[in-house]
Amino acid sequence: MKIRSTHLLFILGFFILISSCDDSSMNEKVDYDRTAFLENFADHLIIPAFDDFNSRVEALDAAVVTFSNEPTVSNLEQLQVTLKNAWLGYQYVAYLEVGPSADLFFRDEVNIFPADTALINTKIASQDYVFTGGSNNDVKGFPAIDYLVNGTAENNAEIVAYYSDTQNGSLRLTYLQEVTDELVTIANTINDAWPAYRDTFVNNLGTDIGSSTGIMVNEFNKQFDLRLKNGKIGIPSGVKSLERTNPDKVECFYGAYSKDLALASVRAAKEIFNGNYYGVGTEGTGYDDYLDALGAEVEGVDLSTAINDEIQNSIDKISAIDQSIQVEAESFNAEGDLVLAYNALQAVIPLIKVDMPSAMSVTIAFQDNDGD
Amino acid sequence: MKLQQYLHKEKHIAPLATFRVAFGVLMLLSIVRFWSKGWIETQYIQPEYFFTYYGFDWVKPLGNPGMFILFGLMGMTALFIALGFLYRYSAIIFFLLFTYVELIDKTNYLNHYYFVSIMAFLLIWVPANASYSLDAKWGLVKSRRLVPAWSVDIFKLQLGIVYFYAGLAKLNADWLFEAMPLKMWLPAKSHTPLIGWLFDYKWTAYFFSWFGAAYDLSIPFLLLWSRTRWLAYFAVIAFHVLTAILFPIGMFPYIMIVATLIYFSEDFHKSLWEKLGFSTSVNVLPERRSVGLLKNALLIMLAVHFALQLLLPFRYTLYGDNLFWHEQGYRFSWRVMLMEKSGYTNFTIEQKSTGKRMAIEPSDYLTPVQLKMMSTQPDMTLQFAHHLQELFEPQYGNVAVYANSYVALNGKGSKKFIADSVDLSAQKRGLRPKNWILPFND
Repeated sequence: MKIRSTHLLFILGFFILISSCDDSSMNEKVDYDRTAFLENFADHLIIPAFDDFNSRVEALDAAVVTFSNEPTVSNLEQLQVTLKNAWLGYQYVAYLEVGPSADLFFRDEVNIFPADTALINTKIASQDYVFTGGSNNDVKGFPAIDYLVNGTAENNAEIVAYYSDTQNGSLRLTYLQEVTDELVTIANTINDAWPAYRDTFVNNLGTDIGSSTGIMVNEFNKQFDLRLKNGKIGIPSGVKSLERTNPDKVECFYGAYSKDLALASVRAAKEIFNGNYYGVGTEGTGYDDYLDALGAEVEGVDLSTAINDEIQNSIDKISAIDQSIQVEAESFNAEGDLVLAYNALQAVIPLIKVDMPSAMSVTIAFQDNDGD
Repeated sequence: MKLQQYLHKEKHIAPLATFRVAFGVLMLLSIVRFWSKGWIETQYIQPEYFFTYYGFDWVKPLGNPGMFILFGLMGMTALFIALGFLYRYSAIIFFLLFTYVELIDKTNYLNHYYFVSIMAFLLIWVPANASYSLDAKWGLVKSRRLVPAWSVDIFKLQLGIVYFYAGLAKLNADWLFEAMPLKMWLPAKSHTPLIGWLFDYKWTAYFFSWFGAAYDLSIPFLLLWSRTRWLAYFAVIAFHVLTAILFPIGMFPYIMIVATLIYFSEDFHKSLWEKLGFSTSVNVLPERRSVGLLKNALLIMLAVHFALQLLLPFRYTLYGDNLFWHEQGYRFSWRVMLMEKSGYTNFTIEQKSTGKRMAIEPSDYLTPVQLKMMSTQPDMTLQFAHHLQELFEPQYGNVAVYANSYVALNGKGSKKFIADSVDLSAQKRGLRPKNWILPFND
């Protein structure tokens, strides 16, 4: 019976503990439907975006076929338009490297820049159409096609001549077609795989390593920090190399619309953050709602507001870049448009890399290990 | 005289032998697990840079296959400890190898690794192989069933310190009154089967916080007292199984569940051994052994050890401000799963001769785990700044290294962490207060 008295002590302690917390706020709960969040991402962002990207890449492919059959200036211009359209579409799906697109290492496969033009020319001459392996990442994808359709000669008439060359023209067209086919295969594969992967994605709840949300937050960060901030702006601007600028390392060197691509990228970040329906703009359940439900704040402001403000500032600063990025990058200017854009993007990083994952309990830059 | 009497007091070896076997087996399992997860490779071979402890810069990883051989030896000595074969040598070698590996990179610091080092150290000094061991069976040591009482009690004391100090560390405003960080961690687990729905409620976080603190503070005493022991042990199992489900803390819960068995009575442990077919009878009268010179040295060493155990966790008071923020005096103090801290740190290198600057991404040099730890622990940030200086000075001449660092603590929003005007390459490592850490100012 003595044991019973100690048990009683425990039970008593338990109730004291419970009653001491008897406060109406205790019944508050995190009111957020995580399944709805993932469903919105799958059904209204990811699947429609990859479907649209697939259409854009197929349109590019059709233009390549037309141009191959009939290399004229007007067909080339049509090809250049479809390339830009597909590349702009890419900027959105680049944030969504999860599931089927992660399996393919999507971004590395289609957008490593600058393209290695010397190697491309060698491969054209040797009829080498092997594109697998990391060493081939810079002879294919958008930057390679940019070189092939915008940069193989001084102007469009000469580019048409380049492909009409009696001796080498057909080899050049074959390479263009092979590189485009590679891109089409990737876009098709991802687009076909997503509907089947959709339920796996939605049911992979939680925020641990390997959860859908965990991967999405990490990829959102990688794309924004490494590919947008560093790749598109930082490296050309010279802030990462003792003021030595790199105008040749811009995303779209030959077509010279890197600024449009950067702008599309940062705008896509905002759309995705807010969970807006792809291409429609309807407000869906996004990270903003998630963070609001968790009550996340920074410096007394709602975290979702702070992130939206800083991303908007980045959009403004990139919009304000006066000339093309490669022209801006010809000389270093600590107060120039590129550095201002870089600083604006940099100001977003702590919010999306520290505050957001921390509030959501997502491990950033993860690697399997124990903690305590 | 009481002390002299206590030092002569003898107990049955059964609890100590159980502890020895359990420790050896769990260590062997831990090593097999660590190896099979590929962590020897990712934590000790792949990194280009290692964050050594201040004063232990001479500790270097052994590369491939050196690290694998080292872990192989460690596994073998763990098995020998379990079997009680060449026990003392095995215990010494295990302790040295394990501790060496922990000293290679503070990125991998875990309280439970520190705990294992201490347990291995204590095992060196006790006759845990005097029975139920190959040493005793094969006559390598004199077989006996009675061992000094202190050789069992030091483990209870050490475990008691671990729990009690873990409990003391929880007595802070964030933990008790904000239920932080559990209020952030639990909702992320709301998809856990059966109990997950509870984690979206605020009171669950408060309940877990208070229960956790009460558990840690009281469990050593409840385990010592025979009347509450079974109930306490049930709580031990429930508590650690729950933490194992909720948090990625590896072997720690299982180590604690098994280690706390040492609190059970002689009779309990004797019946365990009897069930396994071993005799537990004591057929010789306890011999009176004198407390010799060696024993005195041992006594002093253990006294120093436990004094340090009691004092070290309080060294943080020498640094002021918020310990969780600056983490000076944080390690080696049983602060377990106590805060949610995340950060972002990158660096700017300035060539002194030209004043030109460049932004550096530490992710280009560090593994993801190293990056995570370096971003929020200032001693590591400083080490890495020195490393960058060494990397870039051959190319650019004298450089200054500045950190651009933001840290969020317990959901309070990110704040600037390190003064970005301070050239870290000019700051010395060491234990002195780091005045370039910005104040927390909650």
